[in-house]
Amino acid sequence: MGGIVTVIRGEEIIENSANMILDGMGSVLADAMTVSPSLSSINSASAILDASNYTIQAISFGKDARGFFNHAHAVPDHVSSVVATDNKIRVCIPTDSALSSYITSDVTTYRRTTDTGRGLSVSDGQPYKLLPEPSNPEQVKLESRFFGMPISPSFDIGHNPNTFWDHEEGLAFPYLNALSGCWPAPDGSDYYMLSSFGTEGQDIDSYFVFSGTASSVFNTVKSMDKLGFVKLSVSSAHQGRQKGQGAAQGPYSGLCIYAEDDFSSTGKVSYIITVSGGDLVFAGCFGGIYTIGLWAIDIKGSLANGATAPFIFDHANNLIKYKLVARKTFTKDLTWITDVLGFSGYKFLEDRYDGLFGNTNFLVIKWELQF
Amino acid sequence: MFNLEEHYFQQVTGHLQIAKIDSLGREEIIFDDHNVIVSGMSVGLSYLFTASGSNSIVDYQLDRFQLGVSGNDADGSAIYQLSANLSSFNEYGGAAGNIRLVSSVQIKNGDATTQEPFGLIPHSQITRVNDTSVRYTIILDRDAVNNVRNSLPINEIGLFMKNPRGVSPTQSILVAYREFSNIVKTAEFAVVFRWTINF
Repeated sequence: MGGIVTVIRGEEIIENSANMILDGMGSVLADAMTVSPSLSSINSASAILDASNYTIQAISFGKDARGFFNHAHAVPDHVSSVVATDNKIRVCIPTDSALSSYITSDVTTYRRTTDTGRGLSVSDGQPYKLLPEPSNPEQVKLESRFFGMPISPSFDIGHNPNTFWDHEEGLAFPYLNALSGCWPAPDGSDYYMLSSFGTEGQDIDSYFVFSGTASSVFNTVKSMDKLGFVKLSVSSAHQGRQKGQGAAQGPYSGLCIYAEDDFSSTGKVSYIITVSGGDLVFAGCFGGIYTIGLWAIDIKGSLANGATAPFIFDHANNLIKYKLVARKTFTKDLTWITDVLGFSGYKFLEDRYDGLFGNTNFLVIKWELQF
Repeated sequence: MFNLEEHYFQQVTGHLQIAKIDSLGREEIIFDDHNVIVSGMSVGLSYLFTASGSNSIVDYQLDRFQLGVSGNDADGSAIYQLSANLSSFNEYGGAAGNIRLVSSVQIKNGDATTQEPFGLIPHSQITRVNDTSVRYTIILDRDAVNNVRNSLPINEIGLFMKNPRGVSPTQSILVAYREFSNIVKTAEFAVVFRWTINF
């Protein structure tokens, strides 16, 4: 088994290289080969024999582990207290440009002093080196060295969560979620780029450079849960062929299976997802996208978590647990964009699919596995 | 964009061990080597992951085998059938042989027209060795496979995926194969195949 990841922005292929298939894939297949056929005679358990329980069911996005201690996650106390009030995320642009996108690879120091109490502490001004860890077959999350969030050390999912937007209507945004990130609300969330965080007592908006409002397509169609797992939206190759490879947008903004008619001869199966401009803006503010992972259902973990088969994805309260089966890392941030015509490049990401540069304000990721 | 090297092609592999057990229960290992994972494994798994085949995971399980008398590895992973599989229930020993036998269609090079006899592997003999490995134990007791045509030795074995296409009648496909040194099976001894597949 192998895999190739292709990333396309507009008409340009910006990435086309191999992934790593992990031991998790072998574990899922071994589960498939040893599950007892006798479960078919037990009404409450027969759904465990559904073949979809043993295939790819989700994708997630992440960055280097220490990135969760920087970027929009970790701003000085006097800034985070403002964020808690107005729910507008803020980042400090580490460049001299008056109009600029947030270039995550330009961030070279930590912005906040944090001691996780887990053997990791960082200090404001300490050098920060952005580099996702290399893949190894035994990984069980996107960043094995993930140490949690600055204000939530126990949160150890290992990739970008989706806690900024409160999925359950009517509840107030907890202060914690605004700094955990990483994807905006469907009806728009504000972001600020500042030239400085200033000091306590200063009006940080005095350092305003650029601001905007980003909307999430993942959260509009409710395809991403609170932990940042994006579900399968097109769940068979037949359905994928009917809709075409470009279907992974709009209402199908989730993971889509696609395979040509000759898949049984080639052994090639693709998983396609589109990341909208609005989602890229926020992911960039929270540190970018440097790692992605494909996940299958962890049946034992899901059952232990209170889920029952058939395992139904619930964006607001997803009880399904997942097992990492493939991982891909990038040395360049997938949310990277250049400024255009004197405007912040992020401005063009905000418009979903019909912006001025309409075909460049979203990303298509095609993950082709070969069996 | 400079790419981090991540060229790790996870192979499905397998290992076959064959033991001879005499009337006193003494075991002698007579074969111990890797197997060949053939293209049928890729076919089956692609049906699974494209959700184009059976909806039941049971159909993707490796629950049946064939024995044969003309083993060779000339075609490597392109093999889709044994060179000369046992062609009747009688050659497996029939009812006395204590192998549960079934006749079903075998997919051969994409075609599914031929009915062939298979031995079924009881689920109790399919065991998890570790997180990613499964062992299939096939037992030919002293009454099994003693009636092979022309008293030919058995020297090849194939492991099959039950029914990846999810059709009726069942269509099975070869996923792993191994030729081995000749065994002229008699009632004097039993033979145990311990086939471990690493996913």
